[in-house]
Amino acid sequence: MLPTVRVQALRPTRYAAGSRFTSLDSAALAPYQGGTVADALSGRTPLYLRTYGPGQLASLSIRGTSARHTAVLWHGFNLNFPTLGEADFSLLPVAGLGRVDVQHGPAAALYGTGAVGGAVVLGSATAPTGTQVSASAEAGSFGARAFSFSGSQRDARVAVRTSFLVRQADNDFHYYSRELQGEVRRRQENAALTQSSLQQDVTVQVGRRGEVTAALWLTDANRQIQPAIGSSNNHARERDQSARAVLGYRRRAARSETSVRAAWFGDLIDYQNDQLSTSHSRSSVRQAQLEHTWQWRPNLSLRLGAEAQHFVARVDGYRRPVQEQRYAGFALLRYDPSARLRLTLNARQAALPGRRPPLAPTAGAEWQAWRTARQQLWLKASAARSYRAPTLNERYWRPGGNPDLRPETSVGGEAGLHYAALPSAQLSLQADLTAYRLLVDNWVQWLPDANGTWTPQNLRQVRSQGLEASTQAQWRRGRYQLRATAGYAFTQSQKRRGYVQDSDPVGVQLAYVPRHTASLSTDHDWRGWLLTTAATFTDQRYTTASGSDFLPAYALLHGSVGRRWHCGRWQLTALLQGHNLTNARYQNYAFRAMPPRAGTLSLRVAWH
Amino acid sequence: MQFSPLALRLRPLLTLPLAATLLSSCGKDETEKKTLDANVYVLNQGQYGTPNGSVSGYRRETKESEKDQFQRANGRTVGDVVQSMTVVGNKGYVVVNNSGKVEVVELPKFNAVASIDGRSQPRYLAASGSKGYLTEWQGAYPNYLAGRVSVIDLNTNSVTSTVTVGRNPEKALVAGNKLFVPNGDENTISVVDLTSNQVETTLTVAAGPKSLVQDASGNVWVACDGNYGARPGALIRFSATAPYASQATFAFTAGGPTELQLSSDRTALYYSYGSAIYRMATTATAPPTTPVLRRRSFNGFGVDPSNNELYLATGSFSADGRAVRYNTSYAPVDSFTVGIGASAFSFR
Repeated sequence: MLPTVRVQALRPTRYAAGSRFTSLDSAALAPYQGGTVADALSGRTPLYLRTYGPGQLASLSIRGTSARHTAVLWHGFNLNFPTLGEADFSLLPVAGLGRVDVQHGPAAALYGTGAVGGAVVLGSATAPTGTQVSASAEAGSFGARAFSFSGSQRDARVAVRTSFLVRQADNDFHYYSRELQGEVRRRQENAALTQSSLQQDVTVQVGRRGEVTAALWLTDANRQIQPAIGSSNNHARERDQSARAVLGYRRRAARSETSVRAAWFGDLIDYQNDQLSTSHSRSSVRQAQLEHTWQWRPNLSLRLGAEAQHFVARVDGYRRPVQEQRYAGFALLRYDPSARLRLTLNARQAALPGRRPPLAPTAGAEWQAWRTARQQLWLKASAARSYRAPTLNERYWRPGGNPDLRPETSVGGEAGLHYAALPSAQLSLQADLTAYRLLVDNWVQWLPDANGTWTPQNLRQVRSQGLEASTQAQWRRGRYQLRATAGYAFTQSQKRRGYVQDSDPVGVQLAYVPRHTASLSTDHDWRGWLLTTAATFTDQRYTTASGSDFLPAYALLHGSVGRRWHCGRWQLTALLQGHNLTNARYQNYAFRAMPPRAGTLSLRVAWH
Repeated sequence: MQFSPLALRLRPLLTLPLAATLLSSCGKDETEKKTLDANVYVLNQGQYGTPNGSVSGYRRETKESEKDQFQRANGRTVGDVVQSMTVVGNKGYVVVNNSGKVEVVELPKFNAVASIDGRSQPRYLAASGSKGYLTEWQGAYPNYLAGRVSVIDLNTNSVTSTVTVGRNPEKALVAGNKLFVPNGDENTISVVDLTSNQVETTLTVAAGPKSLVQDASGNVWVACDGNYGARPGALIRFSATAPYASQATFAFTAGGPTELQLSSDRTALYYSYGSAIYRMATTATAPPTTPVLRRRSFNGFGVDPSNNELYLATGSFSADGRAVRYNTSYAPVDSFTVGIGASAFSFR
């Protein structure tokens, strides 16, 4: 058999036995082709994204940690801003992505720094054999417009894929504000945005065993920054541009595989408002990873790898250019003693300038406890220690930057059940239940020092514990197909210990961590007709560390109805989407207006 | 807390919709409840960019307190970055910096009666008769433009004219028929004649003048913090009448005094310097070397003009803070919960 191009479909689960994942596959991402990863995750999962308005900064904290505790990876490299240590999920368009996997819990052994509460792995769409092109256009309420194009070509030797998106929104929706004269209906000002994204991947078979992959992702966003209800409009705006390029070579042998990857990620953030001249931030990372995997037996594999990163940043707030090197080595072991038992043991050791974070190991197991012809039940457990390297802002900001800051660490464990059943040929069911506990130590907090200068310090210990439940069902009857997904999370996250300088109280649920979140989505497909519903519930959230003020709970309902037509190799899809169908008045972040009921109409033409 | 049975954990979820209904229906009654008859006000900035600033009230006789008097009286928050509050008669003028406005409230009920909107980064209001003088910054960090003083008719709450002063005007002082405006991003004081509303002259002092007082002898004192400690600051005394001759300069080597305030008889100065509060007689020939009060971190202090007691504002910008009351021997006698970012006081 001739080797063919094996387009990377890097599923992160291989070395993560016993860990919980929340995944959105291409079908779940389909309604969000004109939107962002923030829209998809907040619409379809019980994960809580904190957002300052539609299209505005959206950050994800997993298991009651903070946005800095979520690592975001693309092609195996972390794309969090090195200056801030977090990612803005509104800057990551869905177009071009094939799936999004969220791993819950500490996982630095796999993903490196930042995977303290969890990690998000963005998987590129894979090119199917042959030629495929599609284009879609959408228009919606409040000046929303989007156009996207994607094309791919794949044969035995070469796979090429291009994906392009441009979107725009005025976000001039109405909201209500309490003012001197009572409740006033106002139109949102200064919340417009223009955004574009280009992804280009090429994979080429080199010889019988080698494969070269090149991937490029450019994103650009020009956003007005939505003012809070009751703050003056100071005409804030932000420009975010990121360029990410990865070049990789992989060589497969009968029982081993070697892979080397090099990447350059560059980020630009320019912010300005009436009270602040443009503040510039430029950072880039040159990085390389080398991995070798031994597959001694089908049930035993070991991967050893090393990583080097070189950061360069020119940020106004640092008052000088800064550079930093970081290194890490890791080992990942997967052993399945039997078909009913899977074990993984991973570890990573990083070296940071001046500081050595602790070894970050993970141990995980999955055991099939019970099985019948049509049902199986797995018991899962894992434990890990993880770390977060101080961000460049925390180390180099002037004044206040603290070069002596220790890395944050987290230790966590989880245990759970995985149930799968095939009651009939038409129906499949899956359910997962996980309980976890997570302790984050040396949690960094910015506080004024004796001279009144704000400086980051390793000040507190935070404990988070909770339950996560999810279930999925697929049912097929004749030409009708139903897919339903439900998720629920209970999260209790509290500061347990702090130093005297840190006056925030202990034992209070952290700000912006809802205790309960839930989601329920259904997708129906019948003779080319499509119907989807997505409902989410978000519990009240404290807006202060003292737990004295809170935003009320809210429930949102989104839905869409569409029709797909086939004509030879052509396919046309028309989709009418409704957002916030119950017209709920709610705030995700305090005092930031969110849009009322809204609609989008999209048309997609595909040829294959 | 340990894990309790699942049913117990899930109970809040079941009661939530009911709780939400109850909360939303309670909202209206809130405005009809009586606000505390306070005479000490704590100004809580809130978080920059989010209008959760507040004004806490405290009654010195009964030691009662109320965390957010404005919210209690008006059913809404006062705004984004509460900078200062000036009490004139039975009116309070709450300057809300990042909302670009001054909320006018009736005391002690704290009900809003007017809002002076469209101001540019407003800081402090000084009053003389029926005129208010509001200092405002203009331009953007780090290249600020010349600031301005808006002249406000306190009967109509409207701006009648503006006077251009130096960069980043701060807490101005009315002395006689003059307004002394410290230009915080410079080393100057603009002297505005209140008859003509024109800058009469500009005095040179030390870097970072932020606050002024007039003592019992009629002399004016200015505290210069060295522009947030970047340069040497000073405490300077000068005459309140032209040509405003400088009488004494007490130089500080690193940074300088801030938040200059007076004792009730105007014969002693209080200022904050390096995490401590100092008291200095207006007749002293050198600044004191030991403070009357030292506390690891506080965001601001106030001297109660009725009894010379001190109040300190403590806390973070992420949680409710506390105000601590000290008697005239500087011993703590009480403390109470205030809002986020507590940083200044006002008295009635």
